[in-house]
Amino acid sequence: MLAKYFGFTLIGLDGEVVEVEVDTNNGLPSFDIVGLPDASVKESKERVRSAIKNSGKRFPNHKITVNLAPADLKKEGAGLDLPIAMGIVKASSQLGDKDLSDTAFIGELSLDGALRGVSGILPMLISAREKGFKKAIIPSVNAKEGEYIDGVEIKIADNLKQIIEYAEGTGELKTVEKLSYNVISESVKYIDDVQFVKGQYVAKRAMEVAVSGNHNIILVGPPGAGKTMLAKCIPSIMPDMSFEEALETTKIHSAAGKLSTEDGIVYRRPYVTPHHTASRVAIIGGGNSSKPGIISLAHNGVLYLDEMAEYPRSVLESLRQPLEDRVITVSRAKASVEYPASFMLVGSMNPCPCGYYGTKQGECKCSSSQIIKYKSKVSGPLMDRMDIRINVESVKYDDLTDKTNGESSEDVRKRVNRTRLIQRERFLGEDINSNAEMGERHLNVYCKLSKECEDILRKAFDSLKLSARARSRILKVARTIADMELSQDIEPKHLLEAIGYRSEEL
Amino acid sequence: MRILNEDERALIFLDSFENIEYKHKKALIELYKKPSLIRKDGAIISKYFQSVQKPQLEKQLLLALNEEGYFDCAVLNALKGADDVVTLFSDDYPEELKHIPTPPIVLYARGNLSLLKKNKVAIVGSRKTQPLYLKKTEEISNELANSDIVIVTGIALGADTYAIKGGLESGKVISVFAGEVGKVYPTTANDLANKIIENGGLILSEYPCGRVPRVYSYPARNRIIAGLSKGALIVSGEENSGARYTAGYAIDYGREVFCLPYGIGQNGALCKNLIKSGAVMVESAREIADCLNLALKQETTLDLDLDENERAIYALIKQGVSSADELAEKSQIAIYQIISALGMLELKGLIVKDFSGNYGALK
Repeated sequence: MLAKYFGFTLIGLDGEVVEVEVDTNNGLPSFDIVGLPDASVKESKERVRSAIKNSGKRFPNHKITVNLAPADLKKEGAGLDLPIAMGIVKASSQLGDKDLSDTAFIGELSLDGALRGVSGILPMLISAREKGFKKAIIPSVNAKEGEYIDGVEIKIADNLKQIIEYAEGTGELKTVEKLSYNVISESVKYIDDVQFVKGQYVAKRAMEVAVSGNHNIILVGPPGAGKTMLAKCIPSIMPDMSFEEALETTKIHSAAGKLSTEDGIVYRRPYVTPHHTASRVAIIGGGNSSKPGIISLAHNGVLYLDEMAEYPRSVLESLRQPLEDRVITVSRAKASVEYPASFMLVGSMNPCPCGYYGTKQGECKCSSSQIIKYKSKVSGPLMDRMDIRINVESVKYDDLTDKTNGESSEDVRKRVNRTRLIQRERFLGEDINSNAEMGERHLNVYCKLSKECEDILRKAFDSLKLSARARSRILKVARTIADMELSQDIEPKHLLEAIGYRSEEL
Repeated sequence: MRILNEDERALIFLDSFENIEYKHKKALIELYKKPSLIRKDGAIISKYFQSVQKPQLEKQLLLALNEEGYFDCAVLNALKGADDVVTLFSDDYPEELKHIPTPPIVLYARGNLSLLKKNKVAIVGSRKTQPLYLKKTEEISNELANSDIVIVTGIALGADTYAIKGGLESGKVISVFAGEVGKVYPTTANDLANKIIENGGLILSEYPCGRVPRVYSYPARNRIIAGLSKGALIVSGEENSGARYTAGYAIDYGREVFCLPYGIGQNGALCKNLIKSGAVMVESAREIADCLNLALKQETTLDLDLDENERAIYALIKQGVSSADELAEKSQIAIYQIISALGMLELKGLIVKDFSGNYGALK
């Protein structure tokens, strides 16, 4: 007898429907799975056998063939255990005739028949909805991921037995209750809040400018100056995450298996800080099944590279293209996958290897060639993408003991939201969303300078020896500062402030 | 390369022996009266080296002289990478340099030799000069060079580089190398060296082709920098800085030594010590020119048209408040206004931002 159920497998960030056909024939008892299964799918044989046995059903003593269609799609992950098991039970005539063709089955089985969690549930559910499935049965551990998916009735189960009872009509499954995203997004709290950062007025202002225009920022300062503390606060002042952004980010986290079981959706902007020994594959993505890397986990959030000069050159250089295109295509032998990677890059660096070059706290003991070598580790083209560069110095003791709190992140975020809105309206119909993404063409249209401003910029060029690249960086930042003040035109004061944040030619 | 006369060629030949000490070369030149005779008469060489008991040097020099083609080859090799040479016997050998006790026998040159005839001032300092002082160095150098006073310096990072940058515009720069003129050390200064030549400046060295800078060739090079100049401005340095040699030579040769001022608790020990022992403290190109009786072009007037915020911040910086955060606390002006005011002050050339984001008043 032939049985057919639907399961899902993950290709990159998208769930793909897999039709699981099971047929039992007379012949020597055997169990074959065809249709490009990977190792974890092939191994499901053993899990399915025991799980069926331990769920009160009989494992048929027949020649069993399982076909996973479409046949040309590589299937991976243990999520197909459940539809295979259901198929076998049904094919051996141990199940009623309930029509389950509009139901998707996702879940891994353990030997005793319990249902284990699977990574990538969210993208699978999204694609189930798109493919017109009415119901989905998922492991109860993954229940949270179903809370925000409308249009599909999501049922959860603890073990195979419950599902079999459900299919026989003798039992019911719990349905996941839907939650509204607005409720959760409004209650977002960040642990690191700018109101607890003492002193550091310039840094705080520069961070607000950077976030407002989505500019990348680099913090330079001696050890212990508070660079990491500042960077940690950046997500808290970034604009509120829209549902689409949250869903997109969650998809990536779900596919990478990094989603916490408490939250079904990533509603805080991610703050990702890879250690400097992380490999290029870990950062960019890849491995033999083209997994998303750290930069994709930082999608819609902050990628913080502490001690930027300590990262291998190859890792830093590989960031250039995603910084430009905001996506990364990971091509490997098995698959070529495009992952979104739109993140704000925040870097920190010491001014020299010993950390004290030009600072007030200590005396630098590095030779000039050491300093040049250290700085040259971050290449010019990458530095060009850092629109804002500021120096961070340790705060004074008086500031530390100051009990008054500054402005809270929430207040700053409100302003940032407003500034981002201005930009979105301005770039309506363009292919960009923020000032930082402006190219030469946009600069000519949106950053027209008055005579006075042009004079200032020319003067800055001569006296500060700025490069042509520095010009476009300054213009972009000046545009953001003007937006923050709701000014239509870039005024001299905006331009001058932007000059204050220029990145030095290292 | 122009055609060299026999005297010049003989001096280049003699000078090219690295292992013969300067004093022996100098003595031989004095004994021969006319250098070209070295090639013809080996007797004086023998007599001299026997008298100073250096038979192996005698042997080496005579062998080289007698070997067919060695002389021409040595001269040609020494000249590689150089555009021209000035020897102790040339007419265009700089007058100031002749008066020092150990004038270089040959100066290999790239670039514009006519600069040697002009008034020259040395500007030297440490590689770790603070940005405020670098800016000052550049400004002084620029003003002097624009008034047809040639800047003499090395090519190291820091003070030397900024002294060169200041003079590049008018091309009145002489950079003296501690190795051959054809190779720039540090290599990062390659671009700068090319710019010196393009803008009509001059690169000098007493070392022939193939000689790399050594620890001892820097102090020796500094004697040329001091020797070429009417005065030497020491912009920075600690007790053990190389600039102390330049200052020492300048004092020995009776040239004026100028120093930029450093405050209490600041580094700059070399300048402080020099000032204590009688060097002239200067803050502008005008003071240097006046002291040396050189004419200086009308200096540019300061743009002091400041608005209220700028004036308040400038005053605070002059009081020693250096970081923008501190300025925000002391002035009660909003931080974004402070940053833009600082930008304006920087553009007007009144303040300088250093590597760590601290500001200092330039004027």
